[in-house]
Amino acid sequence: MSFLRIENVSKVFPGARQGLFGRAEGFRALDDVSLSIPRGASFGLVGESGSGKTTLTRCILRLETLSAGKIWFDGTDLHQLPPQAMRRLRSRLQIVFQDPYASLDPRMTIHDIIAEPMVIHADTMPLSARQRTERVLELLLQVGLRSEHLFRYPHEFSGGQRQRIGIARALAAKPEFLILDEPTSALDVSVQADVLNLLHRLQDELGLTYFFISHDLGVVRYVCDDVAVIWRGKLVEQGPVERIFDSPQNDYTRMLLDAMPDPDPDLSPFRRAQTTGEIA
Amino acid sequence: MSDLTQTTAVPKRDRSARAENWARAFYRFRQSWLSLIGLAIVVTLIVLAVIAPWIVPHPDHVAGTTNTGFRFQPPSAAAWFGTNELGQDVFSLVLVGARVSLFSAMVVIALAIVIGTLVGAIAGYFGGWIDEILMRFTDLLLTIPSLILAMAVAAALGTGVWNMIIAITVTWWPAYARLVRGEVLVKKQEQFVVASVALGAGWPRILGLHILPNIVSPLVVKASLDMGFAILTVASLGFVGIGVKPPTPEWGTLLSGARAYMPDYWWTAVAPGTAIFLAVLAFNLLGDGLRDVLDPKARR
Repeated sequence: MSFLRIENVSKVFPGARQGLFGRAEGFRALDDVSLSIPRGASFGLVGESGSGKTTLTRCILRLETLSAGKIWFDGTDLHQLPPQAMRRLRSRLQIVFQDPYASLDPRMTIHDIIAEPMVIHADTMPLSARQRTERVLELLLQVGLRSEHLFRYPHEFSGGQRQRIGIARALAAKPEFLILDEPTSALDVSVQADVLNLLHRLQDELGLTYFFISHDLGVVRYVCDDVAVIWRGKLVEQGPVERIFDSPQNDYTRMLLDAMPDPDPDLSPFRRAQTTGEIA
Repeated sequence: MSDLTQTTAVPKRDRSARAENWARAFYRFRQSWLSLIGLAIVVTLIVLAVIAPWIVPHPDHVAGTTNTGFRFQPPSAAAWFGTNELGQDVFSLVLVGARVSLFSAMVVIALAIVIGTLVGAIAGYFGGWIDEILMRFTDLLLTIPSLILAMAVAAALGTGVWNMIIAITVTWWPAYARLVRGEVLVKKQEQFVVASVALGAGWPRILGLHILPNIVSPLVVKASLDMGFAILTVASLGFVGIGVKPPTPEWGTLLSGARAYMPDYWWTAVAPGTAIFLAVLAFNLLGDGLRDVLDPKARR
């Protein structure tokens, strides 16, 4: 039984208005996408910029309406849910953003940022102000920050620390499903490893399900059990990580894998024979 | 998480970060001596305006007492700015006149900010037909010249400080509504706002806690730059005789009264004129300084 199931989802953005009644042809960002993520898994989504990765996350979070298809989350149809029920469900479905510099409100302290989910969901998480602060502190330590960071502002932190704050905020809602939208692509390589290890540890401790979006295949291979490759809004291939990486069936997947930098210079794509050219 | 228990003491709220920000902002403000002069004049004017009735040498003249034996005395040690056609001390009148001028300008700006922010934030946040209706109405009001409307209001409701304030505000808030709408549109796309939506926050929380606090800077800058212009508008209305009624001293009214006695008794006009000039200049300098601090990208 799958935890999150995406069924034949399409998303078309309407084209520009032309004249009084006409419209230019729309842009098809997602085209008949279907995938299914079991509880507790780490599911990777790989694709280049503009392939529809972020649109898919926005659809899952119901920040966009669907043009066609259904998204099931733990047996409920997300896009049919009445607004109040959706608001309550949002605490179970959280996201960590790509850009740790833009995703934290610059005018709020770290305490207020991490406490916000608990304030918003005070009806289901009845906590006193004191208990909230204690929980914030606990989360702060859990993601590897220190208690003296509590009342500082986001601009006083490094990118990696901010990403930890973003993770703590997402965890504060007590989610079961976490969308990680390229959580490491804005970070230094050394910090990337720290954050990935943190995510790994949190998944073990809290039993989270990850939907991990990335264009970094090395990271996906490290983190994920299953992976889907998206290209121009279509899923071209999906399956277990080992199978996709070892015997890719699709031309585009092969091209992606060939473009992967290898620590061994002899295996550099610049030395290897050019196996694939342009695919269309 | 076993070692958490030892360290979970909640630390004292660390104010240093905010204090440091203020210190840094003031340092940047201090870099320009022009904005410091602006700030100094503004503070002096406001303080003088507040305590004016108790410090002026002739409070009775302000109340309307005349002393025709001493009319048109040139500036002297006894009457610093001379006396007017009724023998009243011009210094006292100008100082007390600052109250009406500064007060009405401030109220106009404050009301314009409140109304403009409300309309602009709602239009920008909700978009769609709400945006269309609110902004077309705003555009409509933008086409009305404030002086003409103020005259119409004065003709319909009579002259008076509050009628004048309302008339100016009606034509001023649309500029703030447009500014706020534009800023809200930008902030709405910011990732921390999207994060808040994904957390399930309602629109009052998102607008009031995440968007509006982040657009305070451009508002403050515009308000301080507008103060000078508001003082000028209030004085203009006084000058054409539809602002404040004559016994209450006001800079524009004083200037208007002095017009008939130019150039022989120049001091009756120079004193209120200088006051208007100083106030407008000071608020503009202050506004420029604040812009440099709050919006460093717009720096020359």
